[in-house]
Amino acid sequence: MREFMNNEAILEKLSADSGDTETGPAAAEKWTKFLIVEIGKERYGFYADQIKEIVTDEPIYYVPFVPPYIKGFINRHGEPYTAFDLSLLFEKQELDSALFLVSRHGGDQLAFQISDVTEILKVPESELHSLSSVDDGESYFSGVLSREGADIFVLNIDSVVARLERDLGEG
Amino acid sequence: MKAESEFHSFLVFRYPGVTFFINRNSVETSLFLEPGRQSPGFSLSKGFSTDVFFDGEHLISYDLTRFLETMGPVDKSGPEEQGRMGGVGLILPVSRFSSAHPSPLANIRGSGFEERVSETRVAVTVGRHGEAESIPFREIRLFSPSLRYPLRRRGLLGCRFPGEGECQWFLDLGWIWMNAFRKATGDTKVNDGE
Repeated sequence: MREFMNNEAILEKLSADSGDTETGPAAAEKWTKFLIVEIGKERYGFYADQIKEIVTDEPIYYVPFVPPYIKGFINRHGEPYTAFDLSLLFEKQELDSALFLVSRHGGDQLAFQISDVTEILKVPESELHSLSSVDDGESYFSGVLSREGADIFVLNIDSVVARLERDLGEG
Repeated sequence: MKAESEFHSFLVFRYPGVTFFINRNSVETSLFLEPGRQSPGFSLSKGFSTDVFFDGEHLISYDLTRFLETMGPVDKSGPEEQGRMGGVGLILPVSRFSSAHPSPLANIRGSGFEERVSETRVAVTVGRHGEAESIPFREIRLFSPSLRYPLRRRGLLGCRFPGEGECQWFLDLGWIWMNAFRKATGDTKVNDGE
């Protein structure tokens, strides 16, 4: 026998199934969705709403006069997206992968080379912990998520772009 | 029917390893250059010479191969072929890329140039594999804001992806000439109006 559901219950279920964060006035806390990826041996988080698509096997076009952690451009629908190798930037190890997260952020067209997408997390905002100390005065991360005993750093795209602008300015 | 205002005329040059295009309006005319030409008694370092002769004057010319080599993986057979086959000298009126007064070349007399060189025109030498092409503006892309101005300072204005696996660069020849000349002669000798 089918469970009885009033309209409110149906709406609530639809909302939960679709992953909506708005649950009406009763919502106690904002939830945020993160894309968790592997870049080399490390795991990082991206705000899911900053990622447009995940692409693979796109040709990379060499771009001159840029730092080594810029792999080049990838072409998405005729637009050049600047492809970052974050492994080279953070770990000093070049990443060999044909998988990219494509992002349109603050007017910039960006792509981030990754090894794999591991999961999509939807967590209360309070679970994103701020970083307690920043050694060199700059942080590439908005915060850290703790999952199964491990820390996952969440990328602050603005600060990565700022690093690029700084490096290009010095070039 | 295509609207004329949606297209513009460019010169497209294909080298092995890199293809670029330039605004046709930046070029006054072009000359075929003889293979194995020699500079008549004068040459600057770093890709410059005065071996292009036009309208009764020697022009300070820059071999674009030097710039393309700084862009990265250019197939060396391109420049070699340019030397063997002879190239093309693109004549650029200084007024089309510099609004500086006096002319950016006004101060170069007495800085090593012993012969008559033009103060109103310069040249850029390229390979012969060029053709005029009408390109729709919608195909030409500016770079992302974070790269746009740094690359523009190097003479790269944008790009286009005309086919699978191909990226063509939109170059600012006047700026490239000026930048290279400043480096070759020292900043103090060139007034580019910056």
